[in-house]
Amino acid sequence: MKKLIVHSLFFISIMVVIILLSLFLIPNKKLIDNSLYANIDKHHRLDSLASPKIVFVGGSNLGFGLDSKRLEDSLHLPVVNMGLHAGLGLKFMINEVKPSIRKGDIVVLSPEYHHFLNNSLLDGEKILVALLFDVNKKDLKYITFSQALHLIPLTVEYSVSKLMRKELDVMDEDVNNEFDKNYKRNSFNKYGDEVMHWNYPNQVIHQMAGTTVSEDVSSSTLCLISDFDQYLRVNGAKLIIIPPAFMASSYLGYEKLIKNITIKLKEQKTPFEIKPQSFVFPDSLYFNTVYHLNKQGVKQRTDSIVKLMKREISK
Amino acid sequence: MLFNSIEFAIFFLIVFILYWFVFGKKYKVQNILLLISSYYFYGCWNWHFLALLIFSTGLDYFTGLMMADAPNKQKKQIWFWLSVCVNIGFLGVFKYYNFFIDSFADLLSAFGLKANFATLQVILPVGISFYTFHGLSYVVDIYNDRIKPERNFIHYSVFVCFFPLLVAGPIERATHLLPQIIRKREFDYNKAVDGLRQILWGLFKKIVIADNCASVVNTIFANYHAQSASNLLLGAVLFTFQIYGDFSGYSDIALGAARLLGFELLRNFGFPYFSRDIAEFWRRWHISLTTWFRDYLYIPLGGSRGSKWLSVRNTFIIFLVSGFWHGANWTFLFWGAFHAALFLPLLIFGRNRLHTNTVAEGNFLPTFKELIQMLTTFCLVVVGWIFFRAASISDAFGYIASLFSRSLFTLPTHKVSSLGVYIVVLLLVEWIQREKKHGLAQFESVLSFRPLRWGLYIILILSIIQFGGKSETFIYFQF
Repeated sequence: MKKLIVHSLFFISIMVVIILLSLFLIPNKKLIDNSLYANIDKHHRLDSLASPKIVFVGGSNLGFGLDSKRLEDSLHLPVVNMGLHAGLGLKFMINEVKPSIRKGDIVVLSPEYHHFLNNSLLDGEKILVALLFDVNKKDLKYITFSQALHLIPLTVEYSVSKLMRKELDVMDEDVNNEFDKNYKRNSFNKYGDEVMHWNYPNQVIHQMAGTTVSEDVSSSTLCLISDFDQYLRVNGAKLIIIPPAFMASSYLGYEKLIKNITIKLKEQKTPFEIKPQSFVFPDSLYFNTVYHLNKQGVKQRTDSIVKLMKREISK
Repeated sequence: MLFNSIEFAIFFLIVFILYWFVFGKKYKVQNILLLISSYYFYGCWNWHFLALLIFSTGLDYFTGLMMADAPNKQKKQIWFWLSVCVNIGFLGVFKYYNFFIDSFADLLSAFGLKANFATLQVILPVGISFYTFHGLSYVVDIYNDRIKPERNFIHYSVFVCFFPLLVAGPIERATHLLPQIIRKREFDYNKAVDGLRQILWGLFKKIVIADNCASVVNTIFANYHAQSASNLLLGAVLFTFQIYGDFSGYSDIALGAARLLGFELLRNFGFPYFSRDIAEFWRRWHISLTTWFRDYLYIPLGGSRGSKWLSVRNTFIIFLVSGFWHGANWTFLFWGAFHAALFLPLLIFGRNRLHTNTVAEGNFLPTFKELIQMLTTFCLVVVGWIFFRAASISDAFGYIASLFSRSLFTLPTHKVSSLGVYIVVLLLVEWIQREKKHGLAQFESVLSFRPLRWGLYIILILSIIQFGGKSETFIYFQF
């Protein structure tokens, strides 16, 4: 038995070393200049802005769905749009902005509806691992212990994938799509908005029309939002929650979930400040996913947010 | 809890530690641990059906005792038929009720009669076909005075519910497994290492081969009308590897896990795709089921003791029942009949036992004749799998008919180059190892230089991890 244990431990050690070496030493060439690098630029802006400031937190519904310059010009407060990708997980999105929040700041949280489903999106997907180990290692400090446990298998899988295939696509890009090919770090403006797609025609949307999701709202997500609200209050900042932009033809399958989310958020006194239906726009205003608005859609959504923010600031 | 999941790895590690380090000196306590672990393992699938499992175990245990203590043959028969009827009854209700009802209604409608029978929303308890057959073999063996009943309920329950074989076999015999349960087990380093190797090979076959084939196969079979003939051929060949990787992979993991706990289970696969005729294929595919049917159905029916035609009839019945055992669908019955049609000519002309040895024994390469025989058998097996995989008989014939078109000579549109490399690795390793028990058995004799051997294991593990994210359930769990 002793021999088996010694040999097993030795074998496992070799495996661990290989995985760590691959994780830290082998670059993922597919990520060179990738849009994930925008995370570094967004952090620079977040840390450089004086308070009071407005910080938008969420996934790509914000990255592709906001005109921060217009907001800043209308509200006369500096704005940073941290929205990048839903797969980074709501926990990470919240934790990465926490240290930069000061008294008087307003945080506008716009989680994707998928963050409220009982799935791995709360803790993050493989794209988060790619961000942490191949884009911005500084972000590792925002990972909690429970999140790390969730990320270990993904990290092992990611590391091994890097070893076997040096170019690893974590963004699910279509190599034949012109926009996907050009969607890089420089697609974002200085506020953190993805603006390159404003000059592109609408793409084929692999929509979720007809799909019906679970009606159950993740209690972990609700708890996370409630804790975040508490944290901001203690630090003299304010939380405003807005729904994501969502495509009309996909809305039906999500209606019950969205209704339940609205009720639950209201119950814990962190309600949507805008009705979800107000951000359900016609399909023609969407660019390439059910969450990504095109330029015209961005304008409409930003108008609504400006009105809301003016109301909130004047309170 | 799938064998290819982190949960099972953690579960097994805990059981292994408790089994050898805490309860290692008392086999009776080890058996209690195995039983609790097995119930937990089964409960993870659906704890509601635990009651059915315990009832089925209890019934066979009790009838076994009653038969042994019966004062006369008549009473013994009553207990025997009670057990057989209840076991088959459960299987019939849970697995075949809707099939018979639907088929009867179809038959009536063919004669212009309308029938509106109630069907049930029956959930098939996982592993019912396997543990029912465990119990049946035990009862039959006692009835035929081949074994004495086990009087310790815990020991008997471990025989039926032992978690490595509970949900998808191999289908064990009391004569083989029970003696191992009622004696002290000693830890053996070489056996444990062999068990680990077999688990590794099983995981490779399941995760790298079967699961990767599955994604292509599912696409092709779901929409076969729109596929080119070359795609259809690819789909059929990949399903051939999928089902082998899936089921033999599961069996390898089960046998390896059992070996780590000091048990030797029945071998289930003997490299069937290197068979030179269908008879040899059936001696190498799902061996524990084939031999079960031989011992508990074919021989009681008369086997080959009577005339040739009696033997042909019995063989045909075995193939049909074997097909039907896989599921309540005409496709499985047809698959069984198809194999019977291939097997019976060999039986009639007395050529069914031509190939009882391993192909190219003692040589590295087969002869040209052997190669042609293997390829022919493989092609026939591929055709059979189309019936097994198709949703209906008409789909299967539609699939086969669509194979005969000019587009057979075009390149398939599904990209499977890396999968192809892994299939070549599978075939190469198994060819080298074909005279041994599994793909990595006694591997030190193939690669004696340990760093090289470990290097290969590492490559296998890395491949498994790389594909681990998109794991599919085991096909044979539905049976």
